[in-house]
Amino acid sequence: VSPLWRDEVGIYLAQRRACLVRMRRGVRPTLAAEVDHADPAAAAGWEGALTLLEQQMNEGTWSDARVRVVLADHWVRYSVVPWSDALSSAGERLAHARELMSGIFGAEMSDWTVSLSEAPPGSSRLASAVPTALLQALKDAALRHRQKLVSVQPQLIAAYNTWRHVLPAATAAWFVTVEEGSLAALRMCGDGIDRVHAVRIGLDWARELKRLQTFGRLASASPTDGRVYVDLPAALRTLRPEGSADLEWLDEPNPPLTTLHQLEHLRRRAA
Amino acid sequence: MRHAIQLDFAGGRPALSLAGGLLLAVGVVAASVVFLEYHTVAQHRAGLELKLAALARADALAAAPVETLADARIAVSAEQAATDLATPWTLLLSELEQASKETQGQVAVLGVEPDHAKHNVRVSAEARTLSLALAYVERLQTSRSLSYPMLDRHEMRADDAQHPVRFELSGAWRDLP
Repeated sequence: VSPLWRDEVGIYLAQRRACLVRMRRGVRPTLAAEVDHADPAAAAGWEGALTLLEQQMNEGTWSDARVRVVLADHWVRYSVVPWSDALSSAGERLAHARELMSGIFGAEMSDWTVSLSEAPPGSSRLASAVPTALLQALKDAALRHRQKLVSVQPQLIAAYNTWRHVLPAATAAWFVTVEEGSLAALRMCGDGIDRVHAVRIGLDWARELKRLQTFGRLASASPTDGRVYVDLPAALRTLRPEGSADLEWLDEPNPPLTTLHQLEHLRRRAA
Repeated sequence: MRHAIQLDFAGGRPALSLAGGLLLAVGVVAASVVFLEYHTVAQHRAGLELKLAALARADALAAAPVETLADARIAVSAEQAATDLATPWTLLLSELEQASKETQGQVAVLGVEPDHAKHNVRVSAEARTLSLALAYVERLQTSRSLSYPMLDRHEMRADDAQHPVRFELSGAWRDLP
């Protein structure tokens, strides 16, 4: 099989949960397999999620493929890095982002791997960090199962890229994605992203969604914040607060086309 | 539509889409066509250059005999000039003139003919008497520019009332440093 047409496996890792989809490549990719493996008794950290993933991988359905991994925002840190004329190379920009994140999150950032988004000159960039040990464990797992790890993205980025076609192109707006245990939000401005937040939330979904509604009302009242677009798991839609006109609930408008779309579809459906 | 956020911890690039693949194929085909066109034009040009070179050679061959003859003439002239320059004319003529003066004008030099092949010179002269002619030859035998000048022939001119003696002598010239 040509490497260009190898099957793709999408993996979503969250607390006590691992979702996997396998897409058969071709002119029209088709879904070959999918599984949502959740275990409330599993360990809460990413080590527990990797154990769940390893259990699935050992079944053999997922080997010999390219792999795209989406990590829950629970294990990810974000920061907006303003543009600086003094930085000329990608290495300098990355070092600057790491320094900035160390100032925000503390010296423990030495065990984290930082990645910086691409952006045109003059625009701010989004910096993201994940534990280096988690990345290494993913690489090792891919190697063990004859997979090629082609992408590792945080949920906020993957969800934003999935929904960007319905987000306003020019006006400011918030994009929020929710998962069990965490909520991540970024604010889009005219030429990029100027604010980002990732917060831990409790298991009382009704209360958290009411807080989100309050946030939406405040944002809508502000001329600079704009609307709030919320990516919510399907199972939580019934918990939407009444009268939440200040929030734009994102629903599945199109059938999924790519591995990441399919993975997002599974993640939202199965939560 | 908003631009995608390009942030990836695996440094991965987006998979090749159908549109991207088609664009790549079109690009490859276009590049191949341009290369073939270039190759054809380059071959055509090489052919024209070969034809031009053949024509230039033909022209050169047609012009060659004229040039060869001209070159040969120039070469002969140059050789002649070099040989003439190598002859010790100044000293030879000077000594012939001096010898004539010593006879108080009784001997007149009529001609001097060098023979470069034999490396000698033939002198034609006229004297009032045979004894003056012999004295002239004897005088030249002490010359620095001629070695062994000898009287080759002489005749008394009967058509002249004074009956002068016309004579010829020859001798090898010496190459002086």
